[in-house]
Amino acid sequence: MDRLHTVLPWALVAAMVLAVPLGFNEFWVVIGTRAAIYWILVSGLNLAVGFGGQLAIGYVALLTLGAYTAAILVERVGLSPYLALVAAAGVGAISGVIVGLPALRLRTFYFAMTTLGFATITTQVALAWQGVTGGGIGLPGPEMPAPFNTTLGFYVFCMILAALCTWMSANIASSRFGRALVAIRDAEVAAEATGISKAALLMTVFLFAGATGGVAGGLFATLQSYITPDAFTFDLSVLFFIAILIGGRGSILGPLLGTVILTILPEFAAPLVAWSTFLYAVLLPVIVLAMPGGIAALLDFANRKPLESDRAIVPRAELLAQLLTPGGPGGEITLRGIVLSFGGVRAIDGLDLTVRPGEVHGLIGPNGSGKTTTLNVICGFNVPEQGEAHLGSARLRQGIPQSRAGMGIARTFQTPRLVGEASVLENVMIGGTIAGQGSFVESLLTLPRHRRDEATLTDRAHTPLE
Amino acid sequence: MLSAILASGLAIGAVYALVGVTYNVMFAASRVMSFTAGQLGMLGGVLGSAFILRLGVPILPGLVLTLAVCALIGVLTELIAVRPVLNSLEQHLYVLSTLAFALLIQQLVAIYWSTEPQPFPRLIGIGAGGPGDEKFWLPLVACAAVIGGLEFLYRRTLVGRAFLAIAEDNFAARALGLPERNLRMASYALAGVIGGIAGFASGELLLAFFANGSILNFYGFVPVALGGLGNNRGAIIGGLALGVFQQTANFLVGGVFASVAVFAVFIIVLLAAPQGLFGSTTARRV
Repeated sequence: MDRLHTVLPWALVAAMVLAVPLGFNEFWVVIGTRAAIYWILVSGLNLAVGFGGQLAIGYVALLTLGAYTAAILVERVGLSPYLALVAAAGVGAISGVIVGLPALRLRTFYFAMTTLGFATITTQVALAWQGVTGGGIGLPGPEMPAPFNTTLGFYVFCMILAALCTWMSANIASSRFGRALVAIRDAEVAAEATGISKAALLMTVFLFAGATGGVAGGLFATLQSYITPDAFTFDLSVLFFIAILIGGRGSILGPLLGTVILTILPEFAAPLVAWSTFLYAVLLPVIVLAMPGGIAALLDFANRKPLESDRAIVPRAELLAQLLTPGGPGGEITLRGIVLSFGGVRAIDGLDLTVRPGEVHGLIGPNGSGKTTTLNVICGFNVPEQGEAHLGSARLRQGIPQSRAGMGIARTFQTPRLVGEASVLENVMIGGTIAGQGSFVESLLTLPRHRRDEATLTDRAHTPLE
Repeated sequence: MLSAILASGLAIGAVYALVGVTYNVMFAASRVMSFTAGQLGMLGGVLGSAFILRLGVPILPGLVLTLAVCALIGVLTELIAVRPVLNSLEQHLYVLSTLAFALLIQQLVAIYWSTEPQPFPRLIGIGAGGPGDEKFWLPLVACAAVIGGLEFLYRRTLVGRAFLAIAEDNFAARALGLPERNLRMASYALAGVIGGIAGFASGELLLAFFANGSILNFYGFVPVALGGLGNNRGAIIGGLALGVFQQTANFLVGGVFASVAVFAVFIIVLLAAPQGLFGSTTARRV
């Protein structure tokens, strides 16, 4: 039954894709192509916004860059349209990373503003760089070679790429990278404590999102057949962003449906076109406040089962032997002369501490005596002003909390930091993220190492849960 | 030529600086960076043109009306986009709610005003297009007036000190019995007025154009990021420097480089000095 619920919506989407060219006229085939192109961009953006929780609102800039890259390379350099699409993906990927850089260090508003500023300057450059972009006059979009040069042929081409992007983003979503993204979004500190590197992960995702955005741009240029800076209004950015919000965070199907709905909505009512941004602007807070789960929550039948009422928490000490690393950690934890103060408050004043393997230690003290701060120093969240921490003979580098999990140091928090939107199994699997061997690309394409990782992780996570 | 670059650079820089101050005034009262700051700057120009040229209101009443409407938009920002999400600051909902409100404003202007740049009335009539033209020095005068006004408000009046108090420590201010909610609304009204002044004073330079909002949003934020959140002195120095840099680059190497350079500097500063060049998080909000 559960399986039917997951397969059925996708079967309907596939039926829709087939029905458009068979049952509707050419106008709707073009609309369908546009929806597919938007989705190619959104599929990548969705990983950053829906899964990673990053407020990337200016992604029309990547569509612009991709479109101009492809158009310029075909029109002015004479490259083949296929190679131009690859180049568009490359330019998009690099820009995606550059624009994403501030997300690593700064609060969400800065990142939102950076993507917005990037959209602003991209349009300005497209207008001002007349020798290359044609300025306000624009330049023709690349024409696809046969058999993709007809309306139907191009529809098929875009649908194939859209399906590919859907598949890849779904692969990532269900991999350890997808779980790590959700963990960063909902419990950043805990994610770092389990060894997830926010910087590396987000950069990879921005790279991917930029690439899909660039490809979408190249296709968009072909669809438009002629591009000017006017074609890339900020409305499109808002459309991409809202499609993900309507679709629901942490879902693939939801944002896909959101993209399709928002693409075809103005076609049903022509007066809506002028008001579309207005509509998006009203929708934005309404969705966030009233329907945070989006379409995905409506389609989520599996999680509607009520919880069993007679559940109890039972400690199972016998599992410990199975779960703990055999042989113990790599030596004793030693702190030497740790000093740390917050403003005028000296939280830790010259602490020396040795924690030996195989023993249970307790740290006792009144409120504000620096217990948690000590743990934070060991785990790398707080950087001491003086002193050093070692694990065995290895020095614990301060300020890099994500390096601790790999050394066998794990921690819990005063209040549990669970990832609310992940299942129990996924929450446990997040703890095993660093045990994975496969790379992002291997997960993208579900290569053998990815499948082995998933099998091992699921298996290991089941041990304490059964 | 140098004087022309300086004149236009300082003029546009003064507008960026004022939009930066608009951001800061809203931020000081609520810890919220609002996307409506640039839209207020845009509205100052559009409303000024609407009242004076379309409806034939004399210039001074036209200015007063423009600023009144901008103040109202400021208050509406607080009521609609900030207050409902203030309790969930952690989730950064304000980014989305203020963005949505800013888009609403922009779209309404596009629909009911025009999507083409419209002329702005000649306010005084000094200068004939040269570097001494009023369109270049009016933004600077407005900027100086706003700095002087804010300085007076914050240092000499009780309300101004109350603003500083809630900016410095919200909880302590409320414990002292300050009406935090009303002060926040007043701050947003003040921000509306400052944004309106920026737009009105630069009307002759930037024209009454709906798309100015998003441009001012970004270029007004750059000095805030450079100067540090809530630091007005940093925003003004940063704004003027940005304006002069942009115009010089525009003239010397062209607009493409100018845009890219501004963006590059913005990202590098954000990465190298997230608190801004001019201060720390505890910098005084003057």
